[in-house]
Amino acid sequence: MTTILVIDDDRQLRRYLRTVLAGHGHRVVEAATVAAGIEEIGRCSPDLVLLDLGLPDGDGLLVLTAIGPGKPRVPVIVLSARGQEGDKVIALDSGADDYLTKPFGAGELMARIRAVVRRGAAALPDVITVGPIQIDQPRHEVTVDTKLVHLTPIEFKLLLELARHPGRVLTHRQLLHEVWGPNAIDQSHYLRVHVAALRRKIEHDPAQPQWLVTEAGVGYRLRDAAPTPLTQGASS
Amino acid sequence: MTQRDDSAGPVRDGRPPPQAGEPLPAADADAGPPRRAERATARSYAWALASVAAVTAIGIATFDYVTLTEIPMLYLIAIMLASLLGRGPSLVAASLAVAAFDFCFVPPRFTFAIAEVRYLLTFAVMFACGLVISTLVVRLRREQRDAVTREQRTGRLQAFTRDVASATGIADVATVLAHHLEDTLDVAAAVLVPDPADRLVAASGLAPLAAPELAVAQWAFDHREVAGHGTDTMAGARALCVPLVAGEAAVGVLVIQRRSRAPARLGADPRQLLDALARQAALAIARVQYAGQAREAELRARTEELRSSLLSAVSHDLRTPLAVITGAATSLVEHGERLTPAARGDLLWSIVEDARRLERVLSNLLQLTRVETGLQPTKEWVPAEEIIGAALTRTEEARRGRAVETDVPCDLLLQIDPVLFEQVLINLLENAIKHAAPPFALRAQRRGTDVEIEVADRGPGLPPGETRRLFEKFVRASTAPGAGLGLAVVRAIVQAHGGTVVAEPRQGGGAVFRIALPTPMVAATSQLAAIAGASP
Repeated sequence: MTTILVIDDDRQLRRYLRTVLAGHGHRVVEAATVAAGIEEIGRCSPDLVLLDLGLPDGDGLLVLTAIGPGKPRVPVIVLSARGQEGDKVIALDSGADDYLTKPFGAGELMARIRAVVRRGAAALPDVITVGPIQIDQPRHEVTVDTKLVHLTPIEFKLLLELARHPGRVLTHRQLLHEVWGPNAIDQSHYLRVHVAALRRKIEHDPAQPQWLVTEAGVGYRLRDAAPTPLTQGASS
Repeated sequence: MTQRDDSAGPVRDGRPPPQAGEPLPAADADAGPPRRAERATARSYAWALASVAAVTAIGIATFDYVTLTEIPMLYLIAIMLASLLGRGPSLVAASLAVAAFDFCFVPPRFTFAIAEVRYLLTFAVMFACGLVISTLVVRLRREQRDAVTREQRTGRLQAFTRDVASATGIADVATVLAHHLEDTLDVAAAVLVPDPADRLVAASGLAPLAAPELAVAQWAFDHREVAGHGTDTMAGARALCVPLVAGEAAVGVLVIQRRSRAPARLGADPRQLLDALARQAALAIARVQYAGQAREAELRARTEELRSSLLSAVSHDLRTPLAVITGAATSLVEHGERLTPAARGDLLWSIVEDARRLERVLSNLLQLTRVETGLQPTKEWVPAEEIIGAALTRTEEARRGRAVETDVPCDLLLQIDPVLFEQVLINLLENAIKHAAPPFALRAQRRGTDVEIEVADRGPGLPPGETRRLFEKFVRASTAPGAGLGLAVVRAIVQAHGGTVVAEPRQGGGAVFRIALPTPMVAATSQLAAIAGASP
C-alpha cells in the first residue's frame, strides 16, 4: 500500500483526490498548509506528495526546500494551473518529479503517480523498452520496431536520459545539464535541434510524435505507454 | 604641418564666441595640451623663416640675371607660403623678407643702410602686399576649415538623427546618444533619466556614477542649466552635465567625462555639436515618452473594454456549461438509481464535456487578458516541427483519432513564445475540429521574409464577408457551443508576435487559416548553422 500525502488548501480538491486515490487502494494523508505539510512528511513518511503551489501560508516551493536535496527523498508531483509554466519549471528544477495541470482527469493523475512511484523501485534493466523503442545500454544500440537505428553519441545520451525516467517530464535545464554538462544549461536551442534530429530517427512522423512529446515551455517527456484517450464509447 | 596651430596659436579670432553665460565644454577646455600647441607653432615659424631664407638664397644665386624689381616678387611668394601656416608666421615672414631684401639686395648690399629713399616705398609696398595676401589666405583657409567643420557637424547630426529616429525606448535613445558622443568627441557619455520617483537613474553608459557627479547631474536637471566641469556651477566635478530639455521640461541629463589623455578629435567647437545633439536627443526622448503614454492610454482603454466584455462572457458563456454540469450532476445524485445505464452514461459525459468547455473558455479568457493587457511574448528559436507536434499532442483527445496531415520542413525555425504559440495552434485545430470536417492539414513553409503556417479543413467553409469579424471577441461562426474567444486569442497572440492571421476559403471546399510570422531568413539560417556547428 502506498501512502500519498496531499497538500492543497482546497477542501473539494482534496476530497476528489482522496476518493480517487483510495479507490485505487492508496492510503491518503491530507494537509492544507505548508507548515502542516512539512509536519506530515516527517510524521507519516509518505511514498509520494501531491503538492499545490499556491498555499495560504506560503509558496508550495517551500515544501520542496524543506524536503531538501538529500537522496533518496520522497517523490513530489506539483499541481498547478495552466499558464504558470515558469512556476512549474522552477518547481521541477528545485526537485519536484513531475507536474499536473489543473484541471486534470483521474487517468492522467494515476499515470503520473505510477511513473513517479516506479522511480527507484527497481534498477533499470540493461535493455530499456519504451513502446516500439528498445535501448540496449551496454551495446549502445537502439532499435525501433526491431530495426536498428544509428544515433549520434549526443542523441543516444539524450534518449537514455529520457528513458531512465519513463513517463516523467524532464526540463530543458535538467536535460542540458545531464547531456551537455553544467555549462550548457541556458542553451535550449541545442536541445531543441537535437531532439528534432532524434525524433526523425525514432518517431514514425516527427511532426506528430507519439513517444518523445514536447511539454511547451517546460521540457520533454518520453511516454511509457501509448495514451489511452477517454472516449465516450457506445454513446458517442 | 597641422591644422591645429590656428585654433591653438596665439591669434584665435573668428571663432563664434561661446554663447553668453555658457562655459566652454570640458572636452574643449582640456583639448590640446598647451605644450603640443606651442611646438606646432614654433615649427611653423621655422618654416616661415626657412622660406624667406630660401628666397634670399635663390636671389643671391641669380642676382646677376635678375633685376632689383623681380626679387620682391619672389619674397611675396615666400610670404604667401608662410601665410598658409597662419597669421603669426606670415607677419614674421613679411618682416623678415623686408629686412632680408634690404640687407642682401638693396645697394649698398650687405648693410641695412639704403642708398635711395625710394627703396623705403618699395619696402612699404612689399610689406603691405605681404599683409594683404596673408590676411586673405588666412581668411580663406579659415572659411574652408569652418565649412569642413560645419559639414562634419551636419553629417554627424544627420547620422544621429537617423539613428535616433529608429529608437523605440528611452534606453535606445540614450545608447545612440552615448555612442555618437563617444565616437565624435572621445568622451565617456551617460544619459540619466528620472524614474517614477523623479530620481535620476542611468539609462545607458557610464554606470554607476559617483555621488558628486550624481549631485551635479541632479542640479543640472532641476535648474535646466549646464553644470560641472569647466562651468560656473560646481566646476570641481569631473563630469560635465548638460540637461536634455524638450519644450519647457527637462527630460534627462547628459553626463560626459574625458576618457583618455588624447586630445578631442573634433578640433573646432565641440560645444555646438554637443548642444545640437542634446537638443535632438531631448526631442527623441520626449517623442518616446509621448508614444509610451499614448500606448498606456490605449492599453487602459482596451483593458476597460475587455473588462466589460469579460462580464458579459462570464454571465453567458461560463454559466451555460455550468448549468449543464449542475443539471446532470444533480439528476445523477437525486434519481441516479432510476435512470438506465445509457442515460447515466450520457449525463456523466455531458459533465465531462462541459467541464472541458468551461476550462477552454477560462483559459482563452485568461490568455486574451494577458496578451491584450500588454504581456510580451518571450521569443525563442523553436523548430516549427516541435511546436506543431506539441499542439497535435495536446489536441489528441479532442481529435479522437481523426488524422491531421502535416507538411513541415524539418529545418524550419520559428522565433516564437512556445507557450503562447502552442495555444494559437491548439485553438486553430480545435476550431477546425468543432466547426469543420476532416481531413485536416497543418502546413508550414517559408515565403520570403515570412514563415507561413496554415491550418486547413474540409468543412462548410467560411460565412461570406465575415472572415474578418471571425477574429473578433465573442463572435461565433456557427451555432456550435463556444464563447467565440478561440480565434480572438489566435489573433491577439499572433499580433503580439508581429504577425498576421487571415481566414480564406480553401480550394476544393473548406477553410484555411493562414498565419504569417516575420522570420528573418539570415537570422534563421545563421541560428541553425550556429547550433549545428557549435554543439558543446
